[in-house]
Parts: sequence; C-alpha cells; structure tokens
Amino acid sequence: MSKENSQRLTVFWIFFTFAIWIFAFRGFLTSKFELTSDALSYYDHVKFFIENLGRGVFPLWDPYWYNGSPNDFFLRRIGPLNPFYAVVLLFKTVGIPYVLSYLWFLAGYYWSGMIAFYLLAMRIYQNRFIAYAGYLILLFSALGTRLFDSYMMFVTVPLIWFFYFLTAFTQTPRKHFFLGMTLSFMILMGTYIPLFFLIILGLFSLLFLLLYFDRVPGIFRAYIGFFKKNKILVLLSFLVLVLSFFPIISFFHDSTRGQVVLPLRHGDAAAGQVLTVPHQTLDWGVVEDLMFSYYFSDLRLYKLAVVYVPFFSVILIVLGLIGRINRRAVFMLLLGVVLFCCIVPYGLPFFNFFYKHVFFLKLFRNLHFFIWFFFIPLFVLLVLEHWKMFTETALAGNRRKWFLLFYVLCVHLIILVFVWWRKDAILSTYLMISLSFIFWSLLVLRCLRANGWGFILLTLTVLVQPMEVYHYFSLEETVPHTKRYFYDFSFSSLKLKDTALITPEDVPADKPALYYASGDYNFVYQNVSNYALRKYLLNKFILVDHLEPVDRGQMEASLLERIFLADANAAIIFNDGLRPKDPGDDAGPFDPDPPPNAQRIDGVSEAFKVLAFDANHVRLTIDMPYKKFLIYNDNYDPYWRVSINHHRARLYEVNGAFKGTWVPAGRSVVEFSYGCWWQYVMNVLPLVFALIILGGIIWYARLSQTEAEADKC
Amino acid sequence: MLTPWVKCLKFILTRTIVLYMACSFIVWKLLDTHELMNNAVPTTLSRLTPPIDYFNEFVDRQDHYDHFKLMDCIYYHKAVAQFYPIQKSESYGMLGFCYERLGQQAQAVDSYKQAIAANPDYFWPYYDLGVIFYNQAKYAQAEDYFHQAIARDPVRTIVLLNRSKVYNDVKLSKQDGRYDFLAGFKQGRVTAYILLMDCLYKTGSYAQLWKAATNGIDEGVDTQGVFYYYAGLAAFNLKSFPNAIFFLQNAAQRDPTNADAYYYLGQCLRVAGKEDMAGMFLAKVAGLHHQGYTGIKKYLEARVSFF
Repeated sequence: MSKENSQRLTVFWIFFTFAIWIFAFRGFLTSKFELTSDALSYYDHVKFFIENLGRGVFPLWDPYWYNGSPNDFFLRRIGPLNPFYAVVLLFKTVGIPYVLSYLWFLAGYYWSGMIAFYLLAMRIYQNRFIAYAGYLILLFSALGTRLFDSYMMFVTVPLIWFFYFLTAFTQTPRKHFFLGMTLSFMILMGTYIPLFFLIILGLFSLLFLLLYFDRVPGIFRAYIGFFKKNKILVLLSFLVLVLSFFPIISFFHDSTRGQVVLPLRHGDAAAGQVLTVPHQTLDWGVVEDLMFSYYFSDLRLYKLAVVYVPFFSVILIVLGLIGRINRRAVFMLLLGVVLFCCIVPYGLPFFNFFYKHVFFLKLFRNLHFFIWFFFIPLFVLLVLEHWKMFTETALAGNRRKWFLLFYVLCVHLIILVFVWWRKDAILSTYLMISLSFIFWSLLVLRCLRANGWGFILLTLTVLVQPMEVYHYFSLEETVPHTKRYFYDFSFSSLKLKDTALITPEDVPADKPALYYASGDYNFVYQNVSNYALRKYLLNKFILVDHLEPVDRGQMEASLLERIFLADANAAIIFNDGLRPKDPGDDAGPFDPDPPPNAQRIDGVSEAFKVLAFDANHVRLTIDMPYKKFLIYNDNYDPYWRVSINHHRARLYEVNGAFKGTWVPAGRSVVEFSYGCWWQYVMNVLPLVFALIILGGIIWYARLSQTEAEADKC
Repeated sequence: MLTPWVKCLKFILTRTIVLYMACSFIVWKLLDTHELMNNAVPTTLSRLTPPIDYFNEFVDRQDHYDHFKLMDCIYYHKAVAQFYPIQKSESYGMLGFCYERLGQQAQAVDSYKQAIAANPDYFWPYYDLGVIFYNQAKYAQAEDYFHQAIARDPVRTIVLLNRSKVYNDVKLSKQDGRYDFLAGFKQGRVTAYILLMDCLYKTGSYAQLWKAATNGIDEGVDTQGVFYYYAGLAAFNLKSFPNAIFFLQNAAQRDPTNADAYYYLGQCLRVAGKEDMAGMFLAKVAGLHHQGYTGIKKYLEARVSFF
C-alpha cells in the first residue's frame, strides 16, 4: 500500500472511530444527560467568559458569584488563553444553542487531544498501525467520560499537544512545532493548576537527561541551530510566554491579600496563602482512585470517575513482557513509577518531604488528577512500547514464529481463565479476548498487514469492550437534563430586585462553607443570619441618608443584623474610609425629613435608570432632590472605582462587604467600574497573541507541507 | 564464547518482565503498606458508601429496587468485609441478602457461608441458607440450617445487631420510623421453627417433627396454631390418632381458616370410621379453599431476611 493510501486509510478510521465515540456518548452530547460536578461549574464559567468576550468585555469581575467576586480565579480555572474557546463562539454565532455549542466543543477538543496522541505515537514509533491502536485505546479510555464531570481535559489535551510538539520539534526543528510548544505551554501555564504540568515536565526533563545523556548534546545543538536561524520568532515567543505568566503571577500575588477566600478548600491550613490546602485534604490520591475503581471491575456498573482503559491494553502489556528491555521502556516505566512514588502522601516518604520543603506543593490537592492528566496517556504509550517490543521479538526470526504463537495462545488462555475466575466479566470481554487471539496470531504468522482488513480487525478488537461498557454507562446515566446550570441567563441585564418573597421559615439556617467568595462577604455571610442577609440583598441598590463609621477591627455582626432586619435608613462604613472632610459634605443639602427606612430601588423609574451594565461596570442616572448615599449591593473590592458625572468620587466599603458612594442632589450619572488598564492589557494581550500564534502554527505547517511536496516533485 | 546457560540467563535478564519485577520489588520495599492502607481504605470506603436510603430501597420496595443501588451496596459491603474483620459476618450477611435479591443464589449461598465462617453465633446466615435451600426444595440441607439457626444463642445475635455498624447503617436508612431488629429476630426464629417442621414433614421425619413441634409449643412461640398443626400432623403420621385429633383441634381453634388442620381432622375421623363427620370436615375444607384460604401454605412463604 502506498504511503498516501495508508495515510488516507488512517484518516478515514480516525474519523470513523470518532463518530463511534460520539454515538457512545450521544446521551451527553445531545444534552439528554446533564453534566455533573466540576463540569457544571466549568460550563457556567466558560459561558460567562465567552458571552462577555462576544460582547467585547473581558470579564474581570463576576457579579453573579456570591454577590460579586473577582473573576480571576475562574479565569485561571478555565484557562482564558485557550484560543479554541472561539469555537464555542462560532457555534453560537451560527445559531446553535450554547449548551450544544459547549458540549460539541468539548467533544472536538477531546478529539484534538487524541489526534495529538496519534501524532505523538507516530513520531515515537513511526508505525501507523501502532499509533492508530494507541489513539483508539486512549479515545475509548475513561478519559473521555471525564468531559462530563470534570475539567481535566482542559489540562490533559494541551499537555498531550505539548509533548507532541516537543517531540516533533526535537526530531525536526520547525517553526510550527516551536510555536505549538509555545501555545500549549501558554495554555497550560494560564490555568490555576500549572503545577501539575510543571511537575510532570520537570520529572520528564530530569529522567530524559539521565537516561538519554548521550543524545542531549545533539539535541541542544539542533535547538541552538534553530534559535540562531529564527532569532526574532524565538525572542517574540519568549516575550509572549513571559507576558502570559503575568496574569497567573498577579493571581497568586492577589490571593495573598485576603481579598478573596476559599473556605471550603483552604480548611484549617495554617499558611496565609488562600490557595493553600491542608495536608488532610490530600486524602484522595492516586491509590484511592485506583482502589475505588477496583471495586467496579464488573463493567456493567461503570460510572464516572472510575479508571478504565480498554482491556486489550492489558493483553498487550502481558504480551510485551517477553520483549527485550530498551531505553524507552525504562524511561516510560521510571517516569510513571517515580512520579507515582512522589505523589503518594501516605506509605511512602517522598511526598511528605516535598510537602514540607517545596512551597508549591502546599497549593494543590487532588493528587489523583495525575492519573487523568498523565498516567493514563503514559500507560497507553507504554502499551504501545510493549507492542513494539513484542513485534520486534516476533520478527526477529522465522524459527520463533511457532514459539510465539504458542506464547500468544498461553497469554490469551491465562487471561481468559483469570477473567472467568473473576466471574464478573461482561460478554464483550470474552469476545475481545477471542478477537485479540485472532489478531495476534495473524500478526505473528505475518498474515496481517496495516491494510483495510487489519484496521477493521484492530478496531473491532479494541472497541468491542468499551462499546458495551459505555452502553451500560448510558443506561445508568438516566438523569435527564434538568437545567441545573447556574448561569443559564443573560449577562447583559441587571436584576434590580429579587422578586421572591421570603419569610424566616423559607430560609434555611445552616451555613455551608463557601467555595470561593470575597473575604468580607464571607465574614458577613458567616456572622449574619441567612434570613437577614437575604432580606437585605433583595435589592441591588439602596439609598440611605446616614452613615455610621466603625473601626474595621471592631465591626460587630449584631449591628449589621439589626440594620439588615430593620431596613434602617443608615449604612455602616469603615473609619478608614473617612477623611476629616468627607466628599459627601459637598454633595448638596441633606433631606430635611429623612424617612425612617432605607429607600430601596425596586425598578427603573424617571429618577433611576440603568444606562449600561456588564460584568465589569454599571452606569446609572439618578435624579434626587437631596443628596443620598447610594449602596450598590455588589461586593466591594479595591479595584472597583466610581465616578459621578464623569468625575472620580470616593467609593466606600459599606455594610461589611458591599460598596457605595454619595450621590449629589439633582440629576447625576453614576458609573461603577472594575479593574485597571494594566489588568486588561495583561489579560487581553496574551489572548490576542495566543490567537496569532495559532494562526502562525497553521501558516507554518502549511508552508512546511508545501515545501515537502515541492521537494518530492 | 558464552555458554548456553549464560546465554539463557542473559536472555532472561534482558526481558521486560525483569524490569517490572525489579521496580515492583523496590516500591514494595519502600512502601509502608500499613500506613497506606490505613488512609486509603477509610477514604475509599467513604466514597463507596451507598446513599443513606439504600436499604429502604430494596427491603420496603421488595422486588422493585434499583439495580445500580443494589450493586453499589454490594461493592461497599465487599470492601467492608475485606478490610474490617470485625464487621465481616454482617457484611457477608448483607452481601448474601443483596445477591439473593439479584437472583444470584450461588453467590448468596457463598456469602452466607462466609458470614457463618466469620461468626458462627450469628443467627441470620443460617436462617437465610435454610430459606434458600427450602425454596429450592432441598429439604435435608434446609433442615440442617434451620436446626443450627434455632440452636444459636439469641443473646449473641442481639448483641451483634446492636453493636454492628452495618446494622446501624440499615437502621439509619429507614427515614420514616425504625426497623425493629428485635421483633424481626423473634419472627425469624418462629419462621425457622415452622420451616424446620415443614422440612421434617417433607422428609418423613415424623418423630423429629413431633419433638420439634411440641418443643415449640412448650417454648410458647406458637400464636396461630401452626405448631399444634405440625404436632397433629406428626401424630397422624405416627398413627397416634387421639393425639392427632387433640392437636389438630387446637390448631383449628387458634386459626379457624387453617383448612389443612380440618383436612387432617377429617382424615383422623375417617380412620376412626366416622365417615359422616369426616365428610363434614372435608366439606369445610372445600368451603375454606373456595373462600381463598390456603391453609398452612401462607406460613411457608419465606424470603431471605437481614433482620
């Protein structure tokens, strides 16, 4: 078969098997079944990000999250530098509902990662058949199911791309590989969990240096040669990379100020850094995840978060055990084993040592993520290495053919007996073992080639089991889509009043810890009764006549509770917000006959209009006969500013957590806005550069292809 | 020149399996399994814990349970049985119960035997094994288990039901009211007696049946005349007709809908040559059957139980 035909055949099978994958998860991809757990939150925050971007707003503030919070945390979670979010926007533009746009984007993004894995395997093994097998095993592993209950693919996919580009660039230094490395590095570093990636990369580099020390000088020479030839490109990429670090540095820096808190996550961790997690939250690690998965060996009960790789890979591992040890196998195995030993917090001494001495290990929990980010793809690569080792043994001599056939038979028989002994295997497992025996027998006898029949048999062998597993999985996922998404509303209108009537009985008394919120709001939430707070927050805007200054350290929750419940015509401000002569003194006459209660703004009127609203700002017109203090019941943050009639005014932190300002008598335009110019530059510029780099990758890849074709001619 | 042995050794030592064995050995030497398991087991178990209403689901709904919840329950109790020896017997008891509900009788029998092996004083696995064999018409085996069930010291089982976490979880799963383990246990013993008597009858062990029935009457466990019925039946088959008439009459007095008691009374009278009176009783039997009363059968419909 010619190279072009073989290439075309592989492309066909890659598309075809992806269609099968879509069929297996049709329940999720048609939104019949709902996303759960972290995937729900990511759905919301990506929607918030994308829709605001679509309106030309880079959302630095999220007014909907616990009464308003800096959005940086969520931006870091979703990784705002990922240019592929544009796909969601594109789908939406052509009229596809957001939920489907997002789900299809997820599927496509995941598939792109699998293609990257195929390309990586091609780079390593130079064998289309082996690479295709790796692609299939990974595509139908449990990684795909995590799209629907977690955000792990936002790390796993760029991580696979990064290693593909790194390998490709090391083998053939080209511009598009270099730019690919830069982009995937930017995306990975743009998330709040870049440390997973950095640990993997660090360990990878260290082991590579140790095991491939003889090749390192050659690789460096090739790198330097490329850098010399492409100085501007390299320099610009480096600058962009540095620039892309600023948002994450700023995020880590801001998280030390205590302006935001993560009570649920932070627990009782002693360190001041809000992202720090206590050691006891590391209880759920790799071992626990694997132990949990072990109890679902009856694949009829397969559920989300259970580690699963098509069982064909186990046969491959066993077959390859008789292969000759090579450096790559040692490298892969060591990479897995060393990483595993370093991240097990109990039973092995390494993690505790690192936790004590390496500061950044205190910043993240969920050590089991390593399984989904790295161990599963690494395991599949190791499986492919076993394939390679076994076939090398098989091809080493004609005499061995019959011995190997016997070995293949023994391996399949042992596995068959083991599976039968377990008594919980599904029917397709037996079918897979039979097909695998046929496949390997034909391969050993050299009757199977990488042609159409070969692809059909391999695809059948790998897919028969996962298809049954995901069939049961769909049966279990019978929860229909019930619109549990929190952010299923328009972000362009400001709701002035919560119309839900409340009584003390309606409001539960318990106070679950908040996941992420403004620090001061968390104080008010924890110390004021739920009913008083809900009652107070029914209106977004409130006008009062009196201010009661208190010392910041002396703030008493009982005072707030009284004001909230009594609907008092007063607001508490902190003394540090007052000067000897307060700007409020010049704002015109006070109301000579102030009402006993605060004046709540229930809706738009001649006297009160919302002129503009988006995530980062709100502009109002207010027309009043006397000066009043306007409370905006959205959380205070030092990056908020206010202007009255286009002149900067003083912004107060009001009632413990919210913000307000004096509004003079007469008609005034009041504008609250969040963020400084440098924050926008810091966030928007890398995003623009990421899009440019993506364009560059496509451009240089095409150029490289054209050059290759021209060389052939 | 390498000798064949050296060649062979070289071949073996360069195989991947050796690499895996070496890695496994190093990790195993470094690993403090005790510490690892002390942390991993409770956290894994807590994640495997089925929803609080799990038991409620398949006891109160009988056969309309959610398959997946039942399987969740199986996985959880498998893990408990594996890691907590102190709760092994109850966990296997629960596993047997779940497997029986799933229709996997062989697995259920296996689990109940494991429960007995873990705690020979525990009443319910004997009872449940008896029920399973009884329903399979394996009366000799069922009889053996019912005998053993009745022979258990009730106090030990009651202590177990009160201290066990597995039973406590079951208690919590009932949201409206509480499961009464003590009443369940008392009823279980009575049912074990009744089924034992039926096994003895069906295997033709009338002398033993007589002994078991009269023992039950002496213990005062009979409330509905079932023991009197079986005592009468034993006497009838042992051809002690005055005794048979006495006990069967008592059975019929305690449960006037017990058509079988009337039937055997009729048979006794027929043996005594009182055909007209026998005919009267047999007509009454036909009348009761016509009204839908099935006689002793209603006492013999048993399913496995956890408490």
